[in-house]
Amino acid sequence: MVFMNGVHDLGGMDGFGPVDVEGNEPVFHDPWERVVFGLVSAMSVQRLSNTHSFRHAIERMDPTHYLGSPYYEHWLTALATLLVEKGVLARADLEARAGGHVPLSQPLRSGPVVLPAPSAAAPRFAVGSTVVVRNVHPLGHTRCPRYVRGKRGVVARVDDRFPLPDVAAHASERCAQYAYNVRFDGHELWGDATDTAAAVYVDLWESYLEAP
Amino acid sequence: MSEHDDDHHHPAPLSPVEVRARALEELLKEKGLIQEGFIDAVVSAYENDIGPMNGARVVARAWVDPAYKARLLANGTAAIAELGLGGPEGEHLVVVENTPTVHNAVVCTLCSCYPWPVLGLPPNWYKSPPYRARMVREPRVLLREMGLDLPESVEIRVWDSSAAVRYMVLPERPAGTEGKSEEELAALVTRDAMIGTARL
Amino acid sequence: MTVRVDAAVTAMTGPAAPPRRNGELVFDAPWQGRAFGMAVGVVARLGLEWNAFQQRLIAEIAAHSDAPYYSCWVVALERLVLDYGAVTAEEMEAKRETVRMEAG
Repeated sequence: MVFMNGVHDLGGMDGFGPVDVEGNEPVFHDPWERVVFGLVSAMSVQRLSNTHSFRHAIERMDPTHYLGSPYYEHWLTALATLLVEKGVLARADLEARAGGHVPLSQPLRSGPVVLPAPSAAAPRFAVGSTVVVRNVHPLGHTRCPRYVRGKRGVVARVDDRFPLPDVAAHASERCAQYAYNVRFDGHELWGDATDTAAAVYVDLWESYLEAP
Repeated sequence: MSEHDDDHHHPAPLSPVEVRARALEELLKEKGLIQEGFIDAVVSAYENDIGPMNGARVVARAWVDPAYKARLLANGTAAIAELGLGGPEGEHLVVVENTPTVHNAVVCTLCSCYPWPVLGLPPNWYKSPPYRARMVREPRVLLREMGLDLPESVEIRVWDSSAAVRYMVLPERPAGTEGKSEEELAALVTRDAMIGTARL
Repeated sequence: MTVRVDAAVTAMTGPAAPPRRNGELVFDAPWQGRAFGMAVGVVARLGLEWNAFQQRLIAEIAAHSDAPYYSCWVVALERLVLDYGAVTAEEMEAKRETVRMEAG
């Protein structure tokens, strides 16, 4: 069973040190990265995956592999994982071709999924409403960062309905929900810690939120 | 001859490599291998194609045209479409404005979401764990490390691109730029200023 | 005039990658931008693949790792046009002499 509080959910995690800004930044650092970029684009055209299931395949990577690998290796791992899971490639064939072990992401969690309901015709929350982020820890894909769960914020903007990624990553149904830009006070997020932003604004789907 | 005539007829001596480059260009033109204007068109295409110049055009337009700026802040997607911009990862663009007392910065803590149509592909540091982890947690310290020192009196707003909306920062117009053309203004705008890790 | 951007040019990596700052191409002087444009134009005009220029660029950078990037670029371009007979060595030297004299 995979708990989806994955290592990718990095907001607020400590210990990373300085941001390394390269002076001379190529778009791709190595030819293999361009190949991966092209393959992923092709796979999306073939409808073997969508943005959501692709992101989720990256999120399912082994944490040490995720943190220790360059960005496009995340793409490569997700690509290989999805191709094997969809039955396009056999893992044994892939490893034979590669001449060794090919690390794949951890498997999707099994068990019934309770699908959230789509939004009603009108948004549930208005600009200026206080909302609380539900303290949920889904087993599948979500775009609700851990650092805002259980926190109280104010709706700053109401956006359109978009397909809820928690559903879109796992099913062909689309669950359209309103997304809201919610403003969180720095102290609400981080307690009395110093050097917080005045505010962090996060875009959250309706089923992540509840009235206080 | 006057000094002025000297300046006019005798430019500063060329470095050896410039001599070679210019000689090459003249020869190639003589032989019809390159046409007049082609070189400028090439450089312009490559500079504009590699990302942030599109965003810089949007910023410059907003600086010179208050009505455009209002439209940009109200509906980023529609406003950039007026300049022929749009496409994947820019279907829902929100532009946030810097002021003397408010500084905005953009991050995607969960992956690497970035406003491609205006800024191109994201740099590696934007996608890196240190940036994604620290920007929502300690932005003032992080920005200082990255070269932007903001006094405590400036409010920092961090935008986490966790859903479908993509963000771009509208930097403040630098002082002393009155009278510059839109094109000259666009040349002042940097990608980092539109992400929010620099001011102009 | 419209110019089609060749992905092979923008995708150059490693030491052969053109300098960028903030995601944008950096030319420290106009002649560098002109050299960039010339290479793109000549490769297209001669009906070559970008690789024909890139290999010469890589070789020049490898041989002179301390030389500034666009100096290597110009030398690589000279090699290309000489190798493909677009220009002769004599023409090159004569033109350089003319340019030097005009520049004072």
